[in-house]
Amino acid sequence: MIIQRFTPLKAATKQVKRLISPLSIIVILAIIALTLRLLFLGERPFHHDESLDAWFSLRFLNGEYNGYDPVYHGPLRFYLTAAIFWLFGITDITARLLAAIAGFILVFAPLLWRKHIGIVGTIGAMTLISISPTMVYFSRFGREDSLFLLLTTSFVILFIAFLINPQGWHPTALFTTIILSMAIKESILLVIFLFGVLTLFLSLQESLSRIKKGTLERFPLLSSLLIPGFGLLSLTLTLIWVGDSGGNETIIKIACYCGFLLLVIIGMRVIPRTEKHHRPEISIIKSLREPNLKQWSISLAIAGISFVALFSQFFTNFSGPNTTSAPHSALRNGLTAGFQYWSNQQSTGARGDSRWHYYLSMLIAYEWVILFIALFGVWKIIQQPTLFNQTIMWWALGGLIVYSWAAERMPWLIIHILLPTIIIAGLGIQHIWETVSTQKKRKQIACSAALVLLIFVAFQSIKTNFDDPGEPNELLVQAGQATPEVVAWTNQIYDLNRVFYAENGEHLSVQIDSDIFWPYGWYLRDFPTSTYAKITVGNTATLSASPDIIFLPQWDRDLAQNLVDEYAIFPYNHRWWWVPQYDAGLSNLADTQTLLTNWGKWMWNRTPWQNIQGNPNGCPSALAGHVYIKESVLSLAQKTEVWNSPHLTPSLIQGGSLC
Amino acid sequence: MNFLTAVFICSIVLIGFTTTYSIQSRLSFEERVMFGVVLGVIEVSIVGFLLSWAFSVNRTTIFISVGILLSVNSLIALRRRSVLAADYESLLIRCKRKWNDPLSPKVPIFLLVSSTLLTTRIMQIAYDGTDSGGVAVSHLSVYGDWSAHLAYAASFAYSNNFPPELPTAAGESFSYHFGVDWFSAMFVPLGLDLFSAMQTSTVLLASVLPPILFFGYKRFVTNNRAAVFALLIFLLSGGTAAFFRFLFQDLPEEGPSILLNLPRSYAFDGFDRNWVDNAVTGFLYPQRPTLVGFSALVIVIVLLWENRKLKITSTYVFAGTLVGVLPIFHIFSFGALLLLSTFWALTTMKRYWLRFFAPALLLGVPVLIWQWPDRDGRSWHQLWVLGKSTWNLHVIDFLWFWLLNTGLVIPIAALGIVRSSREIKRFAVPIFAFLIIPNIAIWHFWIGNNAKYVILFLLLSAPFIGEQIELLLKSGGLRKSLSVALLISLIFTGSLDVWRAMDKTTGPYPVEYLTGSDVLLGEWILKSTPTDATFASANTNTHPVRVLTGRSVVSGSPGRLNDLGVDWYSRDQDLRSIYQLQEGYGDLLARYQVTHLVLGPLEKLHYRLTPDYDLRIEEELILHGAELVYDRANYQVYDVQDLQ
Repeated sequence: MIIQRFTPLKAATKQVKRLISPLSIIVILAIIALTLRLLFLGERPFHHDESLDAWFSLRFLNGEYNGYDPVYHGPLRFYLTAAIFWLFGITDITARLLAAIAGFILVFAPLLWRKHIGIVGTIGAMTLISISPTMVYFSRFGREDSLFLLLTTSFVILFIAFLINPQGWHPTALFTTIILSMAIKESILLVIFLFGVLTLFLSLQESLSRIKKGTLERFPLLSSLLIPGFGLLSLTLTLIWVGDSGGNETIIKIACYCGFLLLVIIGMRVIPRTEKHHRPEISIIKSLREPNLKQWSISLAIAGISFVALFSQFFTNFSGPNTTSAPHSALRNGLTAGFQYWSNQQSTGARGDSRWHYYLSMLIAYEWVILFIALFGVWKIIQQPTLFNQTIMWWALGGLIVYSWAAERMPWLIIHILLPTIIIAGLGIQHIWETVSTQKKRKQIACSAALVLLIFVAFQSIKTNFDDPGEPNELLVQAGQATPEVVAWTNQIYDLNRVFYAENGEHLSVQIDSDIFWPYGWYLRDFPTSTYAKITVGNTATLSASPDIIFLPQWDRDLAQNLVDEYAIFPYNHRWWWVPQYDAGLSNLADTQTLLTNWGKWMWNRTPWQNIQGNPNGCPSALAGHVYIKESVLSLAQKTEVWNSPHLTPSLIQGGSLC
Repeated sequence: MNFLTAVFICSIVLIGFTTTYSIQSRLSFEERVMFGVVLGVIEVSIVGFLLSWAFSVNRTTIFISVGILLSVNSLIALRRRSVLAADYESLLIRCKRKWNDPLSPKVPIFLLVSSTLLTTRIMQIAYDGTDSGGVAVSHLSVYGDWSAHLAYAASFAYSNNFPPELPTAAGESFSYHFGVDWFSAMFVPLGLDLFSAMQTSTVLLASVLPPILFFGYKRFVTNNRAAVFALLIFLLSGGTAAFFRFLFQDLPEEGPSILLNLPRSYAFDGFDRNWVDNAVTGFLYPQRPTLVGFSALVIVIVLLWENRKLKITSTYVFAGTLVGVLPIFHIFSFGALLLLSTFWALTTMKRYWLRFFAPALLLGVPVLIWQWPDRDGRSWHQLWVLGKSTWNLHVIDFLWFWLLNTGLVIPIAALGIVRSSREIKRFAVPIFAFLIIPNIAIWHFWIGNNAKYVILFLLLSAPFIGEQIELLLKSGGLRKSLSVALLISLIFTGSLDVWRAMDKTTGPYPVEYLTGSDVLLGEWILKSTPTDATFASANTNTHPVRVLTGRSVVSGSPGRLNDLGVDWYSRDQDLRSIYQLQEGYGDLLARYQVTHLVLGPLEKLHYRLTPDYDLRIEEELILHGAELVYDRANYQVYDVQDLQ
């Protein structure tokens, strides 16, 4: 009787268990990831760089793109965004859609490594990629980083697959990935350097292990740990040695380092011969031999054709844009200009945040949960230093070192360090699961802790990405972020122009100072008379034409003195940002409590802090200026009820600062 | 698309999906989802309509409608949870099957993605902004038919058109299947503008049509490929005109670059030689009710087909109810289903058909009576347009007409049906009625409307054509080449037209549809006039009063009024008398209960008003109590309520 009563319950439990299969969880994760990436995608005002990317894509769509210029990075994303524009229309959302799609696809990357990570770790890593505040933020950010990370990840997937189980098609895929990455961003140089050095160290490791054991099967634990450790150390020291020399000097120093490593490996290859041992076949060389000559030739041909197609705008334009940074033909620019530009960047000084610990600080601020879980992953890697584990570890730590060394430190580069860290966290989750799953109580504690952390990360992600994500109290907001006033003024200009045109039969004349032209270049794309005005001391000709609306930055206010009588003047905030002192000027231990309180308040409700000395310079600030509107135009706007008071948008900066 | 819209769409899918569990049927998970979109749209539209009629069109009523349906349907889903779980498990298992496996969900998912992308492209270029702040359109469908659809949708969204009256003819009953336009109007309170509402609702419905057709066709063919052929044959239909007009005229003249700028429609030449347009550009795109109608028709056929042996009562009642509400959404599908089911019922003479006909007739006939036009538009004829247009009434022209307009569709379809099983044959024979009707009758005021029957024939006969092509393809050798040639002959013209619809710069488009002044006027009317105001305005194809505000007007475009059986001529003459201030114009204003008279560029042009007209207006209207309430950017609006 009792058994009969419980049978349906058992059946139901079984059914529920069946339904909560990994595939179902993955489907749910996909829905969550997609929602987080697409919801309110167009709401945040455009960042300077986002507007440029969107504008170049539009130019390509209209057949006006001049070709690759490293200042604006590779052309591939312009092609892809142009395709999205063609298909879905030209909107703020579609301008960011490529980043969102790439960010969404990235969620599935751990799936391809599920045999290495383990199924629980894979789902854990996928969850973290889906909801990580930083991953979500830059999947909703219309720059190239999300797409570049997708290609880097594809490269790493192929790299590992090629070393573990080489296939004939791997070189084609690897080369094509590199070419596609080249056509997105110059950072591919860092990726090639990083994985080139890793390849050398793996060869070294294998040579050593063979000398010792004469076997291919397993790396000895010691050499597995020591060699990459030595590698990372040597990488750090080399980069310190390279410093910010820039130009050819950087290239020579890095080449010396790689050459030295190569010599060591060759030396290691020679030792077995001199000692008259049987020379074992190194697996990297074995991998290289796996594809036959025809497959290598096809790989190179496809890569070559892809390169030519991508940098010549699909064989339609072989002449470059002829700018200072891209002075050559399209193909030569593709080959050399990016490299040149990047190496020159090293010497021209740091852009973005200048502090070496920038990425570490940012990771702790936003992703401490992932860092914490990744510690377990590191422990697992130490215990089981397989090729996969070592490669991921190298990718994460090497990435941190290389990006912390490189001259440009920007918030969007964090994701290139974060993703491999999440994979390590996935290994950590699997490790924890394997440890606790045998005991019910431990399992319950671990699940509860995981749930709490998950809720915390989700809360942080929602706060970061949906609660005024463009405001400068978010550390992920960079100096190019436009204020909501920019959007309000854009809408005002369109509304006003409609009335003005209907009344007068001509369009409003709008002039925007070149210093604050972006993101208006994108927002006013359909506006017939917006002008990129170079208003400087020596050039005020555009102002004498008496335009209807003028946007001027604070430092050019004096130039508009003659306009005062005829125009109404409104204060205006163009961009805003915050570069905090992470330690808040901590000088003695007694201040630690203040420091922790500052961070706690920021984490809880994003309250920015002054430094301990009360210096407000560390508070969020804005690029301010003024908008001048002709009185007659303003009165028309008010009369026709299209005046939306864009200047009255509540500003965080006005009246002081956020702190 | 905003957040509320996304929630609304997801709710619709969920409502429709769970509705499919109210009956016992052997539908797969993916079929339930795709069918669910259309069923959800129908349910939400009906409940939303009734609640909005009772209260008003706003966000609350729409979400209450959604809430009610979700609550009821979640109970259904909960009751049938074991079936739902089994369906889901089956989907997971079937996902691993190969593409050509009949049970694999990959083909319908691929079709859904493709049609979503294609439809999104076509829709996103439908409207565009102009420099003056106006609106441009990129296709004849939007310029023409959608003008009326905009007015219908706007009348619900902005003008509280309850009980429904025809907004383009003040005082007339709404003798049109306005369901899909009402559905579009529901997006407006959720934050979309009217144009986006039309586009979004179209994308939603058009995206699921190909998978739904695929599911329907699959039941009458041997494999997935034949079903895909059938789908292509229907969606890319368009006769054979392109073989001459494109290959022998346009291509040699312009070269291959012409593909990027096709100069004309190949399936349709403005009712000269080509009367049967492509299914997408001539029916699904301009005639929005087909989006619900064609899908619903296939869903009902699938339900009846699946139930032919099981004979489950609830399925008959469900199918009958679905048919019963169709007059609100697509009257032709209602008629088509009644015709087909009557034939099937007569050939079986079984009592269970009553369970189908009872709800279908009980629900459908009252709506039909309500929509029935006052004017009788029926007439009888022979062989459709032969002898009445540039087509002559002789055998050569008879054959040539059908070859040009439908290619080899009719003979292959006939062959396919003859070669099909007895069971399928009995099911398929009545579809020939849709070829006979246009050749003997005009039931819808205008001879061009008879193409709507031919497209129904094409929709229903496509699987039999697809199957024949598949059989030829499988037999190999020369027959294989023949099958490819046949397929190309059937889809070439339509492909060009669909491709053309995806290009927004194909001459003469884009054209300015509304100027900035028009938009300003529309905004002012929405803000400053009551929802029950009636306007006198030019009865041109496009007018801001109609398309932007949905306010009632004396007369919309005469051609469209004629289609609906309205006495367009009297209204046209009355408007002329009003604008020319002829004697008795005041009585005419009173007869139509006009509250506002618009005087803008369209009125001046259309009624040839002389330059001194402003003075005459001043004398006539202002002095007799009218008030100038809007005077901006070439438009004046007079409040004529107090006119003596």
